[in-house]
Amino acid sequence: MLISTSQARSVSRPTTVKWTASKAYPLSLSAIAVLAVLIVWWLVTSLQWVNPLFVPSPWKVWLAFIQIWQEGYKGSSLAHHIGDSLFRLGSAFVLALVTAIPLGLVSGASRTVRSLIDPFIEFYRPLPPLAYYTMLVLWLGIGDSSKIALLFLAAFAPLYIAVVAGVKRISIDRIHAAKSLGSNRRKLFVYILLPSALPEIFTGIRTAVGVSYTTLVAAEMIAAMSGIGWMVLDASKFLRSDIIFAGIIIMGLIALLIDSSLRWLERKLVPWSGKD
Amino acid sequence: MSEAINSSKTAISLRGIHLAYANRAAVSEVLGEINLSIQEGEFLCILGPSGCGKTSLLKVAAGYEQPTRGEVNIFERTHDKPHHEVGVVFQHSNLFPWLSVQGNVEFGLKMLDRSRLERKETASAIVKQVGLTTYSSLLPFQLSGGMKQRTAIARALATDPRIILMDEPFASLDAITRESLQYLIRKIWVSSGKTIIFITHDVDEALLLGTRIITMQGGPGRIELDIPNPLNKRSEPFTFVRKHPKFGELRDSLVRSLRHREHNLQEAVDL
Repeated sequence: MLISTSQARSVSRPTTVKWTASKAYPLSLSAIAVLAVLIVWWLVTSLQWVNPLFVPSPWKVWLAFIQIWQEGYKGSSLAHHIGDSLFRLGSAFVLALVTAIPLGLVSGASRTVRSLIDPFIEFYRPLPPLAYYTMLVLWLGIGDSSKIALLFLAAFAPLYIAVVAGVKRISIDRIHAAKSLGSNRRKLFVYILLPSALPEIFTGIRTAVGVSYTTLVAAEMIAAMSGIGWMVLDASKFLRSDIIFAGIIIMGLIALLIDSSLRWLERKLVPWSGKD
Repeated sequence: MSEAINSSKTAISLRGIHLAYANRAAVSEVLGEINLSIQEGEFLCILGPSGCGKTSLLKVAAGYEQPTRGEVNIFERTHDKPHHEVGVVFQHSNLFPWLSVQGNVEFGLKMLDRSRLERKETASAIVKQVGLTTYSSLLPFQLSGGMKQRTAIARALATDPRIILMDEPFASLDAITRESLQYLIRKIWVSSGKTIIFITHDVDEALLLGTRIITMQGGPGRIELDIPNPLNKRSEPFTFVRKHPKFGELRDSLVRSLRHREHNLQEAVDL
């Protein structure tokens, strides 16, 4: 009797997968947490515990969102604002990609080049962007170029540093193997250094996107008439906290979207990452 | 000894090789006066305890390290940097992780600017030769240890080097896999007539594969013993060696030559 029940138990056990081990577990926990915060937000505002000027209700933020969605903000549609911001981000980012990756590859491979470039990177990287933004505006004007330059500088440093680290990490055996297979110096860059550094390049890209995204609001503070960052800043001048909230949520969602598509791209392009 | 196939051309010669690393504190001598001449078609096995400088010797032969003194010649030409005539197989497969099996094997052909069609055909034939056709589109991290080494061997073969250097290529494989790879490398050697230098610390492996066996001792690295392997005949099947009545005797003499430094330790164990 005892034996038979214990046997039955041991047979039935593997069929029920532990809930906490399943894939849906972390996702549903996150969903519950977000929902809880939304409920608290709704409670706090509907019970009027705080001044609605400081914390607008979810409903008001939703209405503000609908309003800017339908009518735009200050003469430009929401898509226009988002498009302008993404254009600035995108141009800066492409510029950073085509400069930081080749330069990082060369710096990673050559101590001489690295010694020449590193001091400047190390110097400007920790500077708050607003400190030199005025100078960029003076040099490049109040148009998009000064904004793109600011975002470019923000994206360049982390990307460059990641590429250099990626190249320095390549084992000498891999270089030797490539040379024994007939690779010359130029081919080594294209066919060995670049693909070898790809995992680090992706980490660098994600950091660079994050840093330049945080710089976006700063870039749109001065002499801008459009952009999602500008919209939030402009709304703050009129204490339109509902629009500020809506703008921040839109910015956050866009950032999430960018990062998850980068992670998707990373999985597609470097499936071996962390496994070599 | 050497057989009829050999035109007795010298494939690789190391003359008066010394290798020393210097830092601020001291000069450490890794290789001291190595003289070695290997005929075309020979299968040379280098045996030695770890740290005896056998890998350093291979690096010098591959052109990865410049000897402090002495000269390396490959088919009577100075050899001081890596060249596609000298293929290398490493202990850890050292494959390019972003390339499939096929891509890894095609790599050398791509470096030599061969056409896409030629790359594909040559590599496919070699992938087939090492028995990986069904796995040719897999990435290295999806392969087992034995499959990785098969790919590494195929990659080295693709550019048709005249000399192949192998640095303990089967050391990290299990016994069964190792044996099937030993069989593979012997088959390749028999059919291609390539010159192979094969580093190992496995005495049986050296006797199974080598036509000539060298033992090394360290501090600084030097050649202790240099003997032809009378058991290894190109025409005989692979299993012939182990069944040979002289196998045990030869094995003992090689082990004795390797034991010098381990001597005291061994005595203790033998008790």
